[in-house]
Amino acid sequence: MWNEESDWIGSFDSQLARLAECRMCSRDRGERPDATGMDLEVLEVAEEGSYGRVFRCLDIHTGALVTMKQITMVRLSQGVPAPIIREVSLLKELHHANIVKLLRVGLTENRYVNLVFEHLDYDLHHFIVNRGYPKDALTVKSFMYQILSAVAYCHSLKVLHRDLKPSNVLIDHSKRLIKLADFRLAGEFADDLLYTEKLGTSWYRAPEILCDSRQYSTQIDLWSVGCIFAEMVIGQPLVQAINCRDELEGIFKLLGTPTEETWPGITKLMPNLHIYYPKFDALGLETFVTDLEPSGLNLLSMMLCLDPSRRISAEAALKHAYFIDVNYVSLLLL
Amino acid sequence: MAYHHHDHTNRKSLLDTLYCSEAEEDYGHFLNNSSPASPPFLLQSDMFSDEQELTSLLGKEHHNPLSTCLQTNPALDFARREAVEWMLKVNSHYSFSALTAVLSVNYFDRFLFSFRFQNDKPWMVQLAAVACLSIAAKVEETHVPFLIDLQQVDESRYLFEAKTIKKMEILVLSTLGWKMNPPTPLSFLDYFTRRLGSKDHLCWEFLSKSQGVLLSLLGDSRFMSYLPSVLATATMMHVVKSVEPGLEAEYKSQLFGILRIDKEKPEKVNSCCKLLLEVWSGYEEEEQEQGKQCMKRKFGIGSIPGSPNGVMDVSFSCDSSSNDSSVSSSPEPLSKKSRSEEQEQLLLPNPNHSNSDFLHRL
Repeated sequence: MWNEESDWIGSFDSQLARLAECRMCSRDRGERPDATGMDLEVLEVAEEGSYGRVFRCLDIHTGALVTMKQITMVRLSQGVPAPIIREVSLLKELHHANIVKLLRVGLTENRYVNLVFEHLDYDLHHFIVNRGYPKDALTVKSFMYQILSAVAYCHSLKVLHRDLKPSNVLIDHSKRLIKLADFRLAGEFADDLLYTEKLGTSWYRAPEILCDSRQYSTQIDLWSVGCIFAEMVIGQPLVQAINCRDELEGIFKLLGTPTEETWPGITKLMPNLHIYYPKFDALGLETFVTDLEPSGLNLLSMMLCLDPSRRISAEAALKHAYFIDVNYVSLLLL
Repeated sequence: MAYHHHDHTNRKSLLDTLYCSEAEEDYGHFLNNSSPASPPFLLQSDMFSDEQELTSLLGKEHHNPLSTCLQTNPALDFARREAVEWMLKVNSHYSFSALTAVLSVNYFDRFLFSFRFQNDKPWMVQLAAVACLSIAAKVEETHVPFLIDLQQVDESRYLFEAKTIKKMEILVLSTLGWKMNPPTPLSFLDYFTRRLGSKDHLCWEFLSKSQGVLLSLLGDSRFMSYLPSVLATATMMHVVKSVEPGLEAEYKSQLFGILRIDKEKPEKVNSCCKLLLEVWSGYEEEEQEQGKQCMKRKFGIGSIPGSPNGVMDVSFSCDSSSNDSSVSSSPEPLSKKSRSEEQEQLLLPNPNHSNSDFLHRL
């Protein structure tokens, strides 16, 4: 049996190689010209993280710029990592102008999964930091409309993004086009909690998540979109804290410590609420978000509503008066 | 997975008449990993266009042509049934959701059809089953056991190393085009209960009964020839009939209305209902009282007759989730466990494809 297994693994490897080749290299089955084995010329390493590396590449057949996310499969005992399966399978289903296109999936020596995406210039985080944030009110409005369009589309397919933040919002600067990316944590609506401290910044997380609720839905994405909205207007995150507890305190200072009247069920969700947090009176969004027209402030307050059941949906947000002067024609032509 | 339904508190529903006040803990273990006393959270959701959702589901569903192959290949059918039973046992042991079970079988069947297994390597079927269950758990569950631990639940003929399973996972994912969120009968069950339901507990109870029936049919390849929407409709009809026979006709018209069933589908639904009834009633007399009590207590199946071919009885027995043995998480070498000579000689030809043809077709 041992010999049989090793023989089989050998042939299995060649099958996998051929399978990957058939999928990735449809034009040329000859010698591969680059280290990635995907007929891509690596131009630069754009980013390095704990999960792997991101490369800016040139597709040698089309000449198009692409982004390749190379994810290392380190934990052999667990096989293909769950986030990769989730992200790829969801992106295979999501076809929308404001969601990044996954062009192909490849394998390198069975140690890496290579995800090749269309290339976009930069993300919203860099746009805000490096360009002094979009001061033009119409740009903010256009970006918001596009983000909400993508989120509404995801929600219509019963998919939550779960990790919306400026660095996951990509920008094609020439077309003023927005695309959502990084669906590693995304999934169909579930009653399990996928967020943990180690998953990165808590600045864009909904209060129900910060309160450890296991009962959350589409509203968590709308809170994140609200945080992004505010950040585009003021040029910095609305509430910045080093941990979940401080983040909640910052939110309560801004919007007021919730009560059963303002957030029915909060005392059940957080029985020790008034032990851990003082009773803050709301400072109000208008105190911090000053350069926003009244209808925009109204929409923002509907997104940043503490009670998830009263938070506006993406579909409803798109119909809000704030977007009455969005140039729909130019958006349709994107 | 949480189930969403619209708030229909102002109108009486047919489901209201099916309501019975059995203890909530009867169903808790079956639907999710929460403690039996707390039912899953049924989210109120009015943001989806029902029609849009249904159109999307119907547009993406298709049945697996493998069912035709299995009719002419008893050896492959036997291997499939065995693999499905194993997947259901593991699913129950780890308290995975019903959707995880359905998805793992869906992946397995799609892969089985697309990939020709070598005649002299029957163990590849088991390896595919391990890989498919692992992938389904990763798609749907929060906590996924180590690959080696998945294999320790039931006495499998083979024990595979983690690296071998990983390679098979990659092959399965590639073969299925990484499309791991297909419409399943559960998608339609969820949709139906949201459209027809009015009480949270009622939707949940009805759903659990329908899921129980559906899971018990997974091993029977004859049901593969039906579209997920048809199988879901037939399953719900069966549950209604077993609980409240007088409502069957009215309920059927509501279901058919929701599904926009017009031309050939009614015949398919009737055919599926007939097969379902035949399968269940055939085993009703054989079911032991102990098994019946177990199912009633755990799944709220109540008056529904016993499961076909012992799938539910074996896969979801009362003590299936207890595990006394300590299991090592370190990868172990591939080894073969003893089984009867007859089963060792299993040949698994797929008449439709060869490996090379399949790879060139991609």
